[in-house]
Amino acid sequence: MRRFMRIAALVGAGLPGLAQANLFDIHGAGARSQALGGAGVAVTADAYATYINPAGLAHAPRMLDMGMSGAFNRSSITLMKRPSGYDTDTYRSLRNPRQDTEDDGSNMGFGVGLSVPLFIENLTLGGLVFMPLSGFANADTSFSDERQQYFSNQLNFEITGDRVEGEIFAAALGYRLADWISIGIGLLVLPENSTNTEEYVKNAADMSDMDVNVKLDQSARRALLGGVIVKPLDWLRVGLSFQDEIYFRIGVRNVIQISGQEGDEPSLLEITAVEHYVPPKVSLGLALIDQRNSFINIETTWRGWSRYLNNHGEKANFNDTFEFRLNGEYGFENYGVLRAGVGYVPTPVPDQTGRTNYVDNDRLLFALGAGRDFELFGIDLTIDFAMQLQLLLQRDTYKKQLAQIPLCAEGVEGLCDEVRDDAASPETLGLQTGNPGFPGFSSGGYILAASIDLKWRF
Amino acid sequence: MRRLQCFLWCAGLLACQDPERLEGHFQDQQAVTGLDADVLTLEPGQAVDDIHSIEGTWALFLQDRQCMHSVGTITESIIWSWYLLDVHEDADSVGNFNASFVAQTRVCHEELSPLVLSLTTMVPDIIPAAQPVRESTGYFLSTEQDGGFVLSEIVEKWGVPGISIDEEMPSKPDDQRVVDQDRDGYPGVTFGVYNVLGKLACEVRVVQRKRLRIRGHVVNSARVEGELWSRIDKVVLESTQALCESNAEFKVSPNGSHFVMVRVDGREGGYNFDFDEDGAVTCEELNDNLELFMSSHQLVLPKPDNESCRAAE
Repeated sequence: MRRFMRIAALVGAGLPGLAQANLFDIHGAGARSQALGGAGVAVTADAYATYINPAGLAHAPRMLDMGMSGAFNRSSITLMKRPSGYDTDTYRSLRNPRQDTEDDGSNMGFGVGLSVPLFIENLTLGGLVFMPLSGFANADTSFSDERQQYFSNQLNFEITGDRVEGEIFAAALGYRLADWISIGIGLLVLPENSTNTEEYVKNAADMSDMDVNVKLDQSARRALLGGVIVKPLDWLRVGLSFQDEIYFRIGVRNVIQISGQEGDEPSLLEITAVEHYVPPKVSLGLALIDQRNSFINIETTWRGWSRYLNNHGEKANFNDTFEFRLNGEYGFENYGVLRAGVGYVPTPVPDQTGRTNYVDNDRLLFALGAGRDFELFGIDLTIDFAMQLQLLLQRDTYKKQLAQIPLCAEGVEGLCDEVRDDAASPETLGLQTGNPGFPGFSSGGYILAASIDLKWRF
Repeated sequence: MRRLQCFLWCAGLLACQDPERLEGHFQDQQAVTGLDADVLTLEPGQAVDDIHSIEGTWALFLQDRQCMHSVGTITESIIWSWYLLDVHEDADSVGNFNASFVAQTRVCHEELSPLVLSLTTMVPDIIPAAQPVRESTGYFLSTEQDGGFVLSEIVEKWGVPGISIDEEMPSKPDDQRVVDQDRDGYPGVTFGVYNVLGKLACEVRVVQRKRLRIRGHVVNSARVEGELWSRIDKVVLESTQALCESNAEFKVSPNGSHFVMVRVDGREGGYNFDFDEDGAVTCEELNDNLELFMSSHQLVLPKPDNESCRAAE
């Protein structure tokens, strides 16, 4: 407990404007959503509705929102001890030794949101930008199988690691059709990078000597946002939202001309990198509201993880998931509001008993937050803050021993042999692998997130 | 309520600690696996010096080494092929020591060593499977150890089934003699060329005529081995990438080519690859157990020896 308190204090001290929204997909968009455990599809009513449920913009006042958000990641991956007799002949000379992964990235960022009624009655425009402090359009790919031994030789959290470093650009419109129903639609945008190189190889047997020209193009990748909020009864509010998949894609196209082949068409080498993947999702929320606008809210989210693309644009065979959240907000007279939420987020990653090492855990969420309206120099302001703890329930992964060991090749899913058996070389018999996830690994830990929002109603 | 509190407390404690380092399910390999584990399903080979009967199923492994001159460099190209021969002894010709035979010959699998830029050509098994069973004849000068052995020429015609052995190869995809033998919608047969990451770099549509002659000697009752002579006429009809379309010039490698023919029906002390015990060894059974085949017969796929090829120039 002391350790926990120390860490909590450290986070508080280390994030001086510990503020609000971000890392939206993991922790919730904005301090209010984060305090509700990442929920809010039925109750959102500010600029963050742009991301959570654009229909909520129809209930948002004219408002400018600025905030900060951070996540302190204390998750880790512990590799099981390698038994002897499984090394390849290059295993001892790899650039990096096989090693555990600790504290898989902490992140922090700032966001700006805006909601403004437009010229048509009941129509509101929302805009939202969130930028990680670590930079714009960062990418850091890794392989999920034995190929990673030639790089960091470590495993990485697939969903809670670098994925939360993604930036957000969103804009949406919310329209109140009637007192009891509002709808919204918007766009989420991420950058897309395309790199073309032309290479002239002077000697096919010596790739270190080549002339290269580079052409770089930036474009945008878009995803549709949409939603509806219905209030069939005074005490009941139902929200439904949809967000299409989006990711940051880098395409590299190398055109290679080789000396002696100048008269022929050059050869092509194409590489795709995918970062910050967010799957398609549908959220359904149901809020029971009392007269002081306090509420209890239950929400479920379906995520289409089966469409997931790994860092190299390959299908990863994840499972679709349903997440559950229960939360509430209580308004005190003259003391603002108090919020709390709990949730359960199951992992989409199936047991990694074979060749791949996608690492992810089931998560339990606990969130707490508060907000208060106040006036400063005649300006109407609202401050919201939140803290959220996500526990990664420990997961132990054991690789499966196959009776027939396949040779590593494209399409092979089982734990595979990197060296063909040769009876004349006894050390090649049986399984030889440098797969960093062999013979297994354990993952767990926690993520502590905090946010603060300052909203100016004008 | 107390149970819930207890659960949350335990979950929090577990999550706040680094996961403990556990033991995996794999034991040290020297103690439990290796060749012994691999050949559990095989009858142990107990070959004797002389062959008493040549009847049965044999596997023929060919290692064809050529020096390849392409894209401004010289590399050694090695082609490994696996065949199955159902051998029927010619009763009229059996002497005390010599024997001739007729064999139904099937090509099962083919692999090629990496080329320049670490590109590797893969021959899909559908191509060997599309080849007809051919009849070969062979002769043992003596079935005793060190006795001579010859096999009639094997001619593989991929994508040009009707071509004769001395006819000029077609060079255009629309040549009437070109047949879509692997039925992929493209002329000839299609090889995939993969880069060092295992990704498909390009596909080539080719026609190929390969003539193979072997001559060797009896090693024991389940094994014959010796020299291989080959001539390969290969024409790339089209390709998805220009680099893969480049024509190469082949010369005999100073390392030489060879063959090994071994019994795979469990008779005469040979290993038994009839895993489904239906009385016949099939290409599927051989292809699914190639690693086992190689290790149990002490066969090695060497790395290309480019230096020897360059030195021979």
